[in-house]
Amino acid sequence: MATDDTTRGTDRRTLLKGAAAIGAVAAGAQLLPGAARYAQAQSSAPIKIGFQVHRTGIGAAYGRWYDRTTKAAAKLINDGGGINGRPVEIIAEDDGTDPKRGAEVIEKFATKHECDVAFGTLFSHVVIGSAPRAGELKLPYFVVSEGHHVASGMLNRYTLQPGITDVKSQVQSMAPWVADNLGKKVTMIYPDFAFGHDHRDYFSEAIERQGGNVIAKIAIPPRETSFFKYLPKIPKDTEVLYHVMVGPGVLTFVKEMGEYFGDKRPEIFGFIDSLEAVDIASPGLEFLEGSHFWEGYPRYAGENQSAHDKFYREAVGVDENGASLSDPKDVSTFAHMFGCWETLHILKAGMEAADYKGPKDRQALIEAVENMDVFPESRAHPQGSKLFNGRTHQAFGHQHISRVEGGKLVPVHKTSIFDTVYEDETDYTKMSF
Amino acid sequence: MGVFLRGCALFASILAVPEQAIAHASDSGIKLLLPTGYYLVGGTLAVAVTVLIAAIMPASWATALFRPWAMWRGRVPRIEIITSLAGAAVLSVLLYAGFTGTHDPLENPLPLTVWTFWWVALPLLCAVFGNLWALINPWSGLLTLTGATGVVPLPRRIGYMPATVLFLCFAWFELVSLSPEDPERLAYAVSAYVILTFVAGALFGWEAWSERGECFSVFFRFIARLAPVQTEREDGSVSVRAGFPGFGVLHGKTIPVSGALFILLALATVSFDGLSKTFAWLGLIGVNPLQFPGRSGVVLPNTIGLVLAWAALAGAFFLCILTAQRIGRRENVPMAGRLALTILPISLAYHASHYLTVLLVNGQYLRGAVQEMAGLEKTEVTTSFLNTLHDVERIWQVQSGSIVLGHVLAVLLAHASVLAIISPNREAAIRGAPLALLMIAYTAFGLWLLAAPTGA
Repeated sequence: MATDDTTRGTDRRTLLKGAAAIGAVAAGAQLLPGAARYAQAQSSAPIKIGFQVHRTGIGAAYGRWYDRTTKAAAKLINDGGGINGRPVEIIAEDDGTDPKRGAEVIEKFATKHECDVAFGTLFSHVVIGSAPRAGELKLPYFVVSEGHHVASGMLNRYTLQPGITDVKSQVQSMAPWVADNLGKKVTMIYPDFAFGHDHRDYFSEAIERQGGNVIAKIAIPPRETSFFKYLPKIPKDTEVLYHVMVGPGVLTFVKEMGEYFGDKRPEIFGFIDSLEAVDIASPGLEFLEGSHFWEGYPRYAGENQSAHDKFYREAVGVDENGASLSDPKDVSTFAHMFGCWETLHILKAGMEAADYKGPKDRQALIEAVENMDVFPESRAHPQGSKLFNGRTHQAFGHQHISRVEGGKLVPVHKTSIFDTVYEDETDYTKMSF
Repeated sequence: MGVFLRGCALFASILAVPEQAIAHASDSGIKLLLPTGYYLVGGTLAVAVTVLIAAIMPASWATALFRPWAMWRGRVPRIEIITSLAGAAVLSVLLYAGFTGTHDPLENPLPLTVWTFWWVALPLLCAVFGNLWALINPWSGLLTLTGATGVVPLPRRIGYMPATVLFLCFAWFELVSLSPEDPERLAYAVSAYVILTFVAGALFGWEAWSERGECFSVFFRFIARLAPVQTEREDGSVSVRAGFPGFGVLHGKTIPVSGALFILLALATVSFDGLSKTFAWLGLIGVNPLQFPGRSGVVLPNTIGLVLAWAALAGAFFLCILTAQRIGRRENVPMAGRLALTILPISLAYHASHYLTVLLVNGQYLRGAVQEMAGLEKTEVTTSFLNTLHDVERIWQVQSGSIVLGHVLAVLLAHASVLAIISPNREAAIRGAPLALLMIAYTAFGLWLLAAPTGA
């Protein structure tokens, strides 16, 4: 895709303005406890938030932590006086991690439960199966999916992703640090379907902008469970091996990679999606020592833990290692679940800005969120400050790179938000309601 | 047509979409690191050796192993009416919760009780303590109290077909339908089945309908025949016998071919549930195992697969029976019903190993629901045991151990079963050989199934 420098420049300027505002707004936000401002609410009926959650199906392991995070955020909001003085009620419906069921759930939220908004979906195919129904029913649908489908323009005005960054921005923002610190000759190993192809395309483009290049692209058939025959295809002059293997074969992949390379190996860079909810100190993962990972939100709090991060972990019930307080071996889906927390706080801010009173104000809510541009780092946004692009309905934020040291992930780099920004691919604000 | 085209377009867009892949490693990934191949070979060999030992050991040993002894005989009050009424009362409360309570299937007591306690745990309890379903089912008490003894006889010639058809519907609802755990949908399904059973029980009489029509009475009764203690009520008194697990299979009523088909369906169902999640099956039906589309995307292939699994297992079983009847020196004897009962330990073993992780995870949610009802603080759910090598290895050992033990017991029961109608021992071993080979093969299949990478 050719870069339109004019458009790009304009976007950057806009976002830079937003970035400049971060400090000022952040300072202000600390002084304004929400409860006091909305004590004179006219109605005490709860704000109903339909929580579309992967309770069963392949997303259930994520759904469990999305549920915990959502409940913790709702409790915090309610303890602070709710939204516009009204309590928040989370109405959970299981979508079975299935797009058809997802659409049914959206319909139940709109017609049966009379929810004000729907929220919380992670898996892309469920978002894409549900969003058209949300649009038809004019139900604001706040997803926490990480997919590029929102910003790509394939959805609709009612679907927004303000609480988590998308995979395109995540991948491209890795390139500058990788090129500067690990090497410029990259070999990519990825599963041979859309997910892997996205990484291949986004990263190839981004590393070339840094003066590097991808010298080999090794696509692994999704049904493969042994990888020895692919490893000799890695060129000898590879400086960085970029892997994004997922699914049950990923541990075998790491083990076989260790056996293949031994002590002599290139730098290794991966995405934590491969090992989300898996203890990095697990037997078999020793080979990853010294390798690097992208993390949406560092699992290990580390030495420079912010007060917001500390507060967030305590509220959700997660320790400094990203594991459950009730079972230190129960590792959370830490790199993703913060999106539920942050999205609920954006919903609160949006409803308050729109003076939301009921379903008739749904359009006003969407417009209020579209008009937002900065989410300063705070208790509401413990992962870090974010810029929100109202035209594409997508948030952009800092990404993190961590190094495996002693079986833990130690943060070594936090990207600039501007490394994550790309030109607009759509403008939802031009769509009618 | 417009709706259909829109659906097609939506489905196509879902398949084509660039997607984040967040299927994480989980226990399936850790299992791939375990030496499951050795377990597969070792477990299969253990069953094969059992077949050989059974063939050469004196016939009296097998018979003696499963010979029960009388423990007690006496009069006990008829508590089953009270327990059944209690069961009906509990079910009513659960249905109320299903219709009106939280829509979260991991918090609502109806799906947790139905799928975790009743369907996963109760069969295991029945295999140890006997037929508890006969006590707590919601129908027998009310039907007995109302004096509904039936107005027409249930035709003898249809055998177990009503139960078999109903069990197939249940299996489809559990394994293929879109959202069997949705509290409201489940409440409707359970209500419909409860009403159907009341009507059928009143029409044909509870005794006949529970014998061959109410599929769960049939299922739990069969499974309970594996219990080490068996009770029998006769002329107002109860006799209690004890023995090696499975003796009840040999010392009880045999069943017709339709009963054999029921038992084979129960085993095929749980086997297919495991198979349908494997890379192998997903590859066969053209689904990317790293991008499972959800149940709605595999309704047709899994419906066909469920029926085919049953047909394949039944085909293999009856081929073994036909072969057994054609080899050896003796005249034909009916073997299908008798030998189908010996498959029950395999069915139970598959059930235990397949549902073990469900029990470990959803059992915690069930505990949470109970704690909530009791006004206690809920204990946080953990699934760390699915993500640590040590725990996954222990789970695998329990699962594979169940499969091997189930097959060993089945082999011994099958041999003793043949011995009951055919002697000498050598002739019984020859007649039993085809089924023994099937059991050895099914051991390998079961262990492969447990170890296979899954993507659904």
